[in-house]
Amino acid sequence: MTKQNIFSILIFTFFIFTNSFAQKVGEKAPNFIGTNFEEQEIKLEDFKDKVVLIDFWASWCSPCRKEMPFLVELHEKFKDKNFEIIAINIDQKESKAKSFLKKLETKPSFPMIWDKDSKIPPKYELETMPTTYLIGKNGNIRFIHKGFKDSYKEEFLKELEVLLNEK
Amino acid sequence: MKNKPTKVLLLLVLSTTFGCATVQPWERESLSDPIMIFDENPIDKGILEHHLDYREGSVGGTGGQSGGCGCG
Repeated sequence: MTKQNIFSILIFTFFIFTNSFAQKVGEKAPNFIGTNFEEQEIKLEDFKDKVVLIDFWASWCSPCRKEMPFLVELHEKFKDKNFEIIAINIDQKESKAKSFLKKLETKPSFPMIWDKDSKIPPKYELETMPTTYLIGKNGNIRFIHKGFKDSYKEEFLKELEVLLNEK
Repeated sequence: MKNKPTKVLLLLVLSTTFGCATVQPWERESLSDPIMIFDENPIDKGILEHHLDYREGSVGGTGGQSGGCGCG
């Protein structure tokens, strides 16, 4: 085995184990079908031509709990402007998610998928919880937020304005 | 095995393929349970750390918010 071959195999091995396959900005948002707590079907493709915010959350994730009231606020503010939020809950127990939602001052009025078997997160190859994707009207991922901090709120507003003003 | 580089390479490949598993972010429900905090009284410790964090202005300085969900 030549030195060059060894080097190539090492590089290959390194990339196999370190390369991230997570969805990136500019790529088409993978379609998904899920059901809400009332077992009604929700599909991403039903929201074509809208700016869509996809949020992966769980009641056991502290920053997700922090983010939810902000998402409710955001939805109330922009829902009449061709904007929709799809929240994907990955709690294994429905009661845990519902108990958290019950405690919210304003209840979310946007579609909420209960993905108890976590079938959707692998399609997006999440790297952390929560992860929030802003999808443009053409169905492409335009902005990704990993985690949640108060400082993200301003960024969300700016990004939303950009996307909503696009044709 | 004829030469040393091949042995080293084999060892390297084996070491990267065995023993490690990544717990995906969506699989961390059990890890995020307070019971996973390495302490005799995990819930008490959580409360104590919470108070300490705010008193000292050191939120996040003692690690994750709970057991280990690795939430961003």
